[in-house]
Amino acid sequence: MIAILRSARRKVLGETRAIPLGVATTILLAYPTQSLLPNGEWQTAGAFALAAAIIATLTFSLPADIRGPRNQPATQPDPNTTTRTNP
Amino acid sequence: MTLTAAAGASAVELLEALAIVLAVGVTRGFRDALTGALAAAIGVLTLCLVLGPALRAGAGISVLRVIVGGALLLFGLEWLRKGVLRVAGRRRRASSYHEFVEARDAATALPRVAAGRDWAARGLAFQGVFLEGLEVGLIVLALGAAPGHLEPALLGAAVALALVAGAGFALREPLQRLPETQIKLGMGIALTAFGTYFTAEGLRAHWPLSELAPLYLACLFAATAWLAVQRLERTAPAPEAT
Repeated sequence: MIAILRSARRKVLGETRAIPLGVATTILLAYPTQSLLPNGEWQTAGAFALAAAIIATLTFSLPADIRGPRNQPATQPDPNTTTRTNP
Repeated sequence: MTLTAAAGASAVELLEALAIVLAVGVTRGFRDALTGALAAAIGVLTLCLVLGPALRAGAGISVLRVIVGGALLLFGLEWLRKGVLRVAGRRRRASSYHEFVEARDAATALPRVAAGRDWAARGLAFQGVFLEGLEVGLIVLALGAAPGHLEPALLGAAVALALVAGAGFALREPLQRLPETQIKLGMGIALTAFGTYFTAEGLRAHWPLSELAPLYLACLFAATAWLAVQRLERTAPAPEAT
């Protein structure tokens, strides 16, 4: 039962903390931002600010070397990585 | 577009559930595999029937859109992340055939029963179908919770179920040939686009071209995924053929 619950949590929240944290932070920050900005500013720019935050969340959920300098050695592969062996 | 997204996302998850049921059926007997799968399907359906109306009754339209958008973003971004890693060669490719082989090995390792009910096989089939079904249920609930989207979301899931059930008769070889990595990456893009669209609408921000926004958002996320793959491929060890 605990194994099922653990797997269900991974299914819903995913394998990294970056995505649930990023999505939650984006939504929670959007509410005060909405009220701080002058009337109409949020309506026109808010959607694109949100899309940018989602792209940032995706970037931070990927291995760190995607944000680092080029040609640095690859990070430790995730446990599901194979060296491309076909089943 | 809701119908396509619901059908696509449901189909890939149902394929994985099918692979598990087939594996348990082949090694332990189809009667117990189908019993476990049926119990899981009833469990997921019950959960959705309880959650769906509670969600619709308990929240205003703006809050509902944010909840729906947030749920779609959780699934979409995770699929997108995995898709990027798979295409860049950083993660094993998605394969229902592989799922089939793993479940078959797990079923073979279970203790045998001489006669009567095989609870271990039922449990294995239940667990696999329940977890994959839960994902389908939550995605369909989220896509269908937006006003006017329930029918296409349910229809999409029904189409996916019919297609996957039909594929169940053909089995194994087609499971090996499906480009699941690309399909899952595409579904991740679609779910993330819908999630971003609904969340912004719920937060009272407006998209230019309103209803067409999911389309250009999908292009934006596809471009981001492509750039991420290029970047990861440059920093990764030389990939071997897949």
